[in-house]
Amino acid sequence: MKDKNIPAIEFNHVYKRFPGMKTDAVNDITMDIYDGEFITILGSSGCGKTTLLKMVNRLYDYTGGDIRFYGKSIKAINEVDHRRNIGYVVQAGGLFPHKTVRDNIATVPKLLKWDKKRIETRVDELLDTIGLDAEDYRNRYPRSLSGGQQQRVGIARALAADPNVLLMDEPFGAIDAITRTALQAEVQRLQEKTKKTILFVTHDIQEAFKLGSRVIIMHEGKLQQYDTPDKIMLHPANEFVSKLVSADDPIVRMKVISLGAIMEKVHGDIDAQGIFKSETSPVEETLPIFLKDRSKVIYVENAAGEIAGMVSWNQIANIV
Amino acid sequence: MNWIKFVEYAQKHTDLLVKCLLEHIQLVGTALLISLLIAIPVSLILLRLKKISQVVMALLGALYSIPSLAFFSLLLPFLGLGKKNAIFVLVVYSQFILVRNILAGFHQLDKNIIEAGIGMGMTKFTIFTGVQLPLVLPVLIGGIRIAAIVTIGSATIAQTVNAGGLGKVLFDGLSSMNYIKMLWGTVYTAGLALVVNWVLSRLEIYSLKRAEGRLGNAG
Repeated sequence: MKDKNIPAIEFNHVYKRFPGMKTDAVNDITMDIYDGEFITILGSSGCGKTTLLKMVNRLYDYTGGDIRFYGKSIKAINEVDHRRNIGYVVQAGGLFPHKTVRDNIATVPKLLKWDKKRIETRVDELLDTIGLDAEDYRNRYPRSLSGGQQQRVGIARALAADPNVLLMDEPFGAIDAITRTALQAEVQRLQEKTKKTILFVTHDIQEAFKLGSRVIIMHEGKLQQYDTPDKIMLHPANEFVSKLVSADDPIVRMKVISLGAIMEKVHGDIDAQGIFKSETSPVEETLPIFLKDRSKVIYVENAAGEIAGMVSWNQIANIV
Repeated sequence: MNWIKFVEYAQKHTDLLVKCLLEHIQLVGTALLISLLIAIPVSLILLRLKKISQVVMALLGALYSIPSLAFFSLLLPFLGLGKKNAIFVLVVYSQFILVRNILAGFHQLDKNIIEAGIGMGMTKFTIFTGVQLPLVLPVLIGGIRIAAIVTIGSATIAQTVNAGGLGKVLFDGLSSMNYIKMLWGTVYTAGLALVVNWVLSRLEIYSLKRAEGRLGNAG
């Protein structure tokens, strides 16, 4: 369908300066985002992270450089058509209070003039995906839903026309911690299932590291680092990043760094017996084992269930 | 005065009272319609011009504070006697109420919701008709309701420039010291205001329930 070598979204020396401002809100950003990546954008308020996101669907127009969407400059695409191709989730769901759950979800399909039957089927399918009973929730209004449910519907609405790319602007910012954890897991599951390209803005470091396959760290409009959580933790690009993510803190490091990043790679078949962990598991999961017996060896499996490497206390000691 | 005379008057002069009532409704209706046709576009323009909107609101407020009797006479050299003069003044008065309400309605809209709509690829037109208008409608109808009641009252004073309507009943009664006539003018005027208020209140409540998603099954 799409050329794998062409980035889904490509920032090329992008600048944004708002009228009347003396500094750039976004300053010379160059980076590529590929199909199927889950990218989180992390930074404190005013760092330009939301501006960066809103330039992708042209809620803001950049003042320098170019953004390409599957190889095509987004300024060359009709902005309304472009937006209908991109899912957009805002804080607290941003649902239309006067429309039912069905009509909220059907927003983009209606704009695309889908026929009624197709819309009904799609709405029910999406309600099922987000774990809400279609029979019960279809005709409800947003005010009768909890905050978490509203945000689920917000996500369903963004997915309605099956876009390749999803933009999420601090979607869980106003949601309580327990619900947030559940929603994070759900978005993660959804992304693994649908392989959508997601750009997810957050100011929550844990959230950024938990969800992002790669993390963009912004500060004062500039890109500080754009890498996997492992690499950011192990090799922070500068003092700012190091401080922001507490890269010096062994506890934080153990929570973020995955076994895959520190394991000793093994090749060929080995007949291993003992303890197995996934390569995506954080280092901290080995702690109870090593605290009992430092001579243990833990085998690390990849997604296919093959042994990819092994970890002993030495590797752990090296990073903490 | 006794009740029999009071009732007799209404029976004898039903034609006059109803004619004046209809005239009054026509006067108020015309004024409100013109007011809305001006206030809606003016408000939509002012929404984009913050500084100018403050000046305009101050100006409309100042006009609103001119006593109606003075305002009607003030325009005599320009618009003369009759309905034209009356409607002009009534339209000016309602502008303040309507524009203020419409602006307040749009300002209270949740920006997050509007931005979600734009971000999903809704056109400005669909956002206006499908999101902004239904959400602003309760406040707009509230403005129309207040403007209607104020106009029903002020329109009686318009008889000073011979605009007709229920003001005619009131002022004729006043000049001939006919208390019964005056009382009937008052009853009709107050009755009209009450009925209009009731109807528009119902509409306002309905549109509010719709805007907040309180219609239908789930609460």
